[in-house]
Amino acid sequence: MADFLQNCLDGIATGAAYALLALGFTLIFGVLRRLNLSYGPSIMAGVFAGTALYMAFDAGLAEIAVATVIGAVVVGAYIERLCFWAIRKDMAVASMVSSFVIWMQIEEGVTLLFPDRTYAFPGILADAVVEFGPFFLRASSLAMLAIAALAVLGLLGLIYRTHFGLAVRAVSENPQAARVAGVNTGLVTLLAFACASALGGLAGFLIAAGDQQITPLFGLWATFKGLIAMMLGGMGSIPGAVLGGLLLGVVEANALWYLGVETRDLVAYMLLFAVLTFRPGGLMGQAALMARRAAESRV
Amino acid sequence: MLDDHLIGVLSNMGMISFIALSAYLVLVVGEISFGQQAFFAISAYASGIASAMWGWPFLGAVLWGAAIAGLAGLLLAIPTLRIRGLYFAIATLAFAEMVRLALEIFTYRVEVDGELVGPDGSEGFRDIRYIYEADISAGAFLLVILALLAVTLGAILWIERTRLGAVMRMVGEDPVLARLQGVNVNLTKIATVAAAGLIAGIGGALYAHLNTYVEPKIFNVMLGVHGLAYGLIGGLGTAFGPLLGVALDIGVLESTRAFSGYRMIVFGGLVAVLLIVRPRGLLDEAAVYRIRRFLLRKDAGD
Amino acid sequence: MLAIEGLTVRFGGLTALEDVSLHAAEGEVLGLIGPNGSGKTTLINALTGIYPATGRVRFREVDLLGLPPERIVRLGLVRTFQNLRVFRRMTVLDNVLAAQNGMPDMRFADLVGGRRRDAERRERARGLVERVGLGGDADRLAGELPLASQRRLELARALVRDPALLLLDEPSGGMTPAETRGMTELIAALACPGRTVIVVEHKMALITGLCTRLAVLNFGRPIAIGEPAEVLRRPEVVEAYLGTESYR
Repeated sequence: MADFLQNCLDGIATGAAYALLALGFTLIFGVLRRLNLSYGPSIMAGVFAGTALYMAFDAGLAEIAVATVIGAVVVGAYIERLCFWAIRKDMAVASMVSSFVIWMQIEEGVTLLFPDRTYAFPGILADAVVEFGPFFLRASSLAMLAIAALAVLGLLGLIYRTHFGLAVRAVSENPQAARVAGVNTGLVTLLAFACASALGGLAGFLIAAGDQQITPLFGLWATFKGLIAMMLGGMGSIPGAVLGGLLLGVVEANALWYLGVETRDLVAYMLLFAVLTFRPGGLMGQAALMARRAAESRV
Repeated sequence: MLDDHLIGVLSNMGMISFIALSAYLVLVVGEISFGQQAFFAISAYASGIASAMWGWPFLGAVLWGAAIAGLAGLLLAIPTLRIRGLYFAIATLAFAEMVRLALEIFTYRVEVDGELVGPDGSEGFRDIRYIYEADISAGAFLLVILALLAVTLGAILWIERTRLGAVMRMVGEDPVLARLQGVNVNLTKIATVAAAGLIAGIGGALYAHLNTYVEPKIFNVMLGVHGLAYGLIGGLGTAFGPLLGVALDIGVLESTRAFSGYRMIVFGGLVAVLLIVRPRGLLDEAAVYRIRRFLLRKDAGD
Repeated sequence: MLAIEGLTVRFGGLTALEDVSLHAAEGEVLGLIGPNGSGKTTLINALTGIYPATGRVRFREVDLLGLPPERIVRLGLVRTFQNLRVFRRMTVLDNVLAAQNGMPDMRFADLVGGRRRDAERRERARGLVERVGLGGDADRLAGELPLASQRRLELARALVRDPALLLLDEPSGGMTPAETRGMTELIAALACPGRTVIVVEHKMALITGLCTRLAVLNFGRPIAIGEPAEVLRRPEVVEAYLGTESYR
């Protein structure tokens, strides 16, 4: 039982990182009804921008964080223009494929600039541990959890309390009607993408700072973990992203403990497959998905 | 005679063409699969087990591997029937990763001629030695690949000319309208995904026997995405489309070495731009239609 | 031959059709009119199995409700669409040829047997394409045709199944007056004994020219049914239309 509880705590720790990644994913899906599979690689590119600053100028943490966020936003904007803005609005699937092939570009581009396998990243709170009686949690994970909670509040506020949020919801609901109503849909989409990328950059910075290293494979990891977490929670749902992230973290931690490292990822994908086939809307998105499906089946 | 490099390139093109054709069939019925590499992998293992461990003849092992892969396609198709679009695509991705990760722990070894042979988890599956034992040269194996590819391509081209081909395109373009023309959409999708699994399986069996060694990490998502991209750039109007895609990527980008180090950047950019200007590829339905009409007119003129 | 009893369709809290009862006799042309949103297309969608509905629909001794669309079509109940639906990436002829799926004489061998086995059906399709006036466009891609021609294609595609009940959803929608006249003549010429037609329309010229009976829907309920000229004079019908829809 003690093992299980400690596993859950460990799971919540990794789950916080997953939740942060899933939030950016879900924001993009919520606005565009499309999936950006290059989200992880764009974050990875941002983290490498931070690493470059760290290696070249021994820059401070704040500068590195800013560079990471800017890098992620710039690459995110490139993806948005090429894979989303330029592709016809009814071709959601083409955008998804396009973002997947751009992934290859980003990964190879980064590998050309940074040919080694791993690079150092400055740590924050890397070794600090918070203890609760017999249980413990890394301080950096607690920080991520707090930031994920803040990000949820911030996003909900942004989406439901601001003029920009209203435009975002209008574009999400019906882009054509939004355009007729005078919303600059291209700009709104780009800004929403930038928000998601900035959030992703922040997540990438925190995760890399926790690990104190970064590899080009981070892109793959970030996309898949964020994607699974978002799908578990329900595509497009903001609270769902956090729930899905934490659930994925807890399931993985227990699978690792009881079944071993090879089985951990297998269990995560089995969970994803089961959710997609039995409840494609996830924990929080089923009603919204059913409503969309009903609307699509009108003849 | 062909040199070794050319034989290698052509063999690679032939084997990857099976994945490309497999992904293409799923595209024709209107779905995107990121997971056709799973069937390639399943058949690589199944056929390797049959020939290296059970002592089956080569052709029997290939057919066995393809049949198992087709069965796996059926297993994927049935639970995913209710989901479409993004959801279906992600489900295929999850399925393929499940298969790859399961192969990472799959161990089944028997003693053959005093040696332990068989899949050994992440260590992979060594000693699929048919090609050595039967003393088959790389050139001869290339002919085997091309012959099987020709048979597969011929079968698909034939189907495309029949009513079944029309039914598949109807399901792909507008499933609701297809149902209202009396088409059983579910059955068409299940059969297509199973057939796609079988076709990828032929390629996987050939791959295992040519390389004599397979390991799970070869069958990663990028293999599937390439297979998918070939159909999308080459065109969805005819089965020649995915082959054109393979020729463009492996034939031009990889083997000319002009883009060495930048291949993914060039290929990724090419696919992204083509998805913008020609979302259904170079040989899309309209292009195929125009080519066909041009050929028919020439016939009539003679 | 078609008996609808107490048909109700709900979308969440919205009731699109409520307790609709309607009969159509063998061989008659029944007009169905009503203001926008009155449930005409919903009725067709419910009959063809696209929307789930409650109540009872009997078509030649078969209960339709709950059957999947492909089964209903195979029983001989065929429709066209208000917002045109053709296979744009297929030729006109192939659209009509492909519409003959799952017909009683179809065997599995016909699915994979190639063109020779389909020769007879191809001739039949070509004949219908010519009858609706698209003979010159038979080998063009359907998506390239102008709207009026696509509506004619839909008609040929429906007729190729030799339907016992034909549901036409605004066959003249978006057409000019001249095109509408052409369509009216075409529908009149294609009517044949034993075939029932239900036609949803806004244009009264087409309705009065074709229909033997007229039913009026408003807010998902039938408010009048009878001989066309008489029904159109009823005060409740005039009221339902006034200010919401102009009619000629």
